[in-house]
Amino acid sequence: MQTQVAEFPLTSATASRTTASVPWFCLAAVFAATCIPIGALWDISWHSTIGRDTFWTPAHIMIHLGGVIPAFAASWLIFRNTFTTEENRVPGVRVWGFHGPLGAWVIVWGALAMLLSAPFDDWWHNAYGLDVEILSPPHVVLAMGMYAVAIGALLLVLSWQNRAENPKLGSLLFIYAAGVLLTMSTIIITEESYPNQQHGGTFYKVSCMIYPTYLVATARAARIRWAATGAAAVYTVLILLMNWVLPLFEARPLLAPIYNPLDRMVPPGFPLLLIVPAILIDLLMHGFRHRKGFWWDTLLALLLGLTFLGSLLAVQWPFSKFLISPVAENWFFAGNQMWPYWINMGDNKYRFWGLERNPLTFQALAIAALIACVKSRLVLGVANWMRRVQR
Amino acid sequence: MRSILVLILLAVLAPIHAHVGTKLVYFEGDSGSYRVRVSIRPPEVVPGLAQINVRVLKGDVTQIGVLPVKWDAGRVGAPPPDLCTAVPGETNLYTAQLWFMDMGAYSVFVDLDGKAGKATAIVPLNSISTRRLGMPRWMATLFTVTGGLLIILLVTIINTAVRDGVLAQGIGPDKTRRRLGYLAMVVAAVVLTSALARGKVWWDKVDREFRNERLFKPLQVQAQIKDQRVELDLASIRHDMRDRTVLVADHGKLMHLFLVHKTSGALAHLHPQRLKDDLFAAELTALPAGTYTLFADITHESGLTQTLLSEIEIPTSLPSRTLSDPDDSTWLTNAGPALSTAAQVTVPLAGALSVNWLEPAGLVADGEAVLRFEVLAGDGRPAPIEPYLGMWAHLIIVSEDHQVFTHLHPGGTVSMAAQDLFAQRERQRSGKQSLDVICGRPERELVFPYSFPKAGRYRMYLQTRALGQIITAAFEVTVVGNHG
Repeated sequence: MQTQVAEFPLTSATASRTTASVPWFCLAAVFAATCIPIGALWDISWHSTIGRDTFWTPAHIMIHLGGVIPAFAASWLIFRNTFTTEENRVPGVRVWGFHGPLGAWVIVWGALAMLLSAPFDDWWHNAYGLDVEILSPPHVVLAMGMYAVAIGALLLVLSWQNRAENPKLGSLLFIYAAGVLLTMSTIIITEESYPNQQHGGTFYKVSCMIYPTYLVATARAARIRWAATGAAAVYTVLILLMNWVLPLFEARPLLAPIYNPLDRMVPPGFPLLLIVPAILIDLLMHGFRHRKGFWWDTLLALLLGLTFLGSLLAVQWPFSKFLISPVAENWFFAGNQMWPYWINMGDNKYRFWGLERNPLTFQALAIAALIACVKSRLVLGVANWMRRVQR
Repeated sequence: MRSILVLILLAVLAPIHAHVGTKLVYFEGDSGSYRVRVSIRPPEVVPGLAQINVRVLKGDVTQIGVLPVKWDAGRVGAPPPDLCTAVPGETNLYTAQLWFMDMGAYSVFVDLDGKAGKATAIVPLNSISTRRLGMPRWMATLFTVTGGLLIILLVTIINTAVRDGVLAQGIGPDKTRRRLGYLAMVVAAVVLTSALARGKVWWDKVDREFRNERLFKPLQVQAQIKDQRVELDLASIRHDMRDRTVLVADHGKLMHLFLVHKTSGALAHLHPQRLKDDLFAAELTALPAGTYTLFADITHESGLTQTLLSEIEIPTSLPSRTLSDPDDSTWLTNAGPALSTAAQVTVPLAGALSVNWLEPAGLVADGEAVLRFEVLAGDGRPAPIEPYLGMWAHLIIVSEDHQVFTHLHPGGTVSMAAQDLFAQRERQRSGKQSLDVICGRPERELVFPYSFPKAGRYRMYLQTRALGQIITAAFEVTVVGNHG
């Protein structure tokens, strides 16, 4: 059997099933997935400010909508694809006798994981008490589900972009979806990324593990320039909006003990300056646009990793010093305003933490650089697949 | 005073389904012009929800608010009060739920508002995790099956993604792509299995930390008999005390030590002196030979109360001697057999005194039991009682297997010292209150609100002072299960 693999640039044959306008399911999935990081940031603020909640808080509803709407859209897509004629199908794959786009399958998987996490989380609260930390095993299952929903939305958009004769609109939507995913990733590692931790080694290792994934993949898989910059801009705007909107609402703690009296919803804190590494990544990717192949990608990954770490260090090191200073304590930078009601930070909010245990040594930097380079190389491989995905 | 449910080490080490009961905190007393009985079922796991019930016994209350106050945060560090709602079918019972977010000494402040003005009752309690929940088999099966299906589905999706994802619709994969698909499937399975294994290691770590650092276990203290005195060394448990604040006196004593004979039920209620930093000692008088369980009540400056445990062997019966602390007392046996009727159990005591336990029937595990007693003189009239250790009476309840131990007063199970500490911290008048205001002066009956945590046989020791003597009356109790 002859196999036709879609290679860049796309042939007209592989782009035969595209439509000029964005399919409804792409829009539904991507914009509903946006509810997840916004809902999560809202929920964290809720827990940090008010504390007491129910299943039906607006933040929880927003998160659930972020799972439910894409799940319904994906399920309908799979149902329709399975029982319609071949020519009316959206390109997809067959799983367990059902037919649907890859993105739809990933969304369904994510929704099921979110569903499974609910009784697990409930049992966890009963067994170990209501958790006040972000990372716990049931929360990781929930986060995996959320990630899968967002990745599924991204795959739906990608396959549409890759089949389109004019991929610009699809690329823009893809970049937006990548920005949403990037925002989600920053939320997951909130507890490792406070400005007070940004002179320690762990922050840079974790950042190198996480952020090149999104920035490099976006830059490689999108069909337009400045894709990584666009994704970082989406992240920056989302966080800035939450930073500025949340404190507009009056709220006060409803749980004890209250060591930090609050009267406004706390903001998430100023976004990381990922926009700077993103610009450099885009420039590098553009410079290597005609150099394809395993070894060119390996060299590119090496440069991407070092560039990411170097630029992040160059901007975040001095900026974090500014953010923990009293000068940043205003509505724009929201410095030192993210601390929850149960912590009296005292002067600790003006200090960098754990520098004795976790200094940014040459060894820590070398490890971070290695992580960034290896991660970039792996991501380039995956992104090459993303750039060609059709179904 | 205090009430602490104690599990002996055997019970602590028993399987998690070996349930020994829940603990309820009771306070009954006057607050301003009102009299209330507050019962609190603290959360078994912290952070968790406590159930608060307030029964108004006297006064016209129009609104009741409750709020949790942690010892080092005070009322200023507490949220606005939650308003209690009336329980349907009851005329004077109100209820609310409160979150306890932190471990340590808390108080529930009960704000009463009515025609007689505003008043606040303080009900101290320990906010501690006392239970480790096992996962039911059906739930484990559900998670295993659905989790397994999710993993298989994900591996299948990854296989098809690699095999077919980049192919145009209608074109099938060649042999290479099929192999790539299988390879991706294997890699995904290995990665997911590794992630699951890592998750299990994480879960085990959380569980281990919960058991070692957050699950409250009664501490085993070293004890020995030396020169007809009992010595307790707290040095070995100092690190595990969960509360770094110093010990404070409760009713003028740093420690209230109870020795209970394993078989006969002989009781010594002693008040050891601190000899050195962590070494406490109390003289012993006549006690029969045998094995004794030691229950030592202490109160921290924070308001946290603990009961320390130990066991000692007295090889030969001890001779009688005069104890240097006049508040120390012992009980070996009642003066005569108890006389039981449907309405009461009467225990005769020396000096023609007797103690009646009124309405003794119908005790059910985990239900509210109001234990009423009266002390009568030889002529059948109420005997004038005097405060003993600052209280009108003490009731010590020990289960037959010594797994449950409680020491309470007519004011309930709460620690009066902790109540005073919280009150002082809030700069209220409680520290200057007279005894009458705190728990009400009994006219004829001594009333103890309590809830037996599990079914079984118990012994109750009522202690008070009458005719200048400390008197102790012991009662046998059988508590039935709440389904039987």
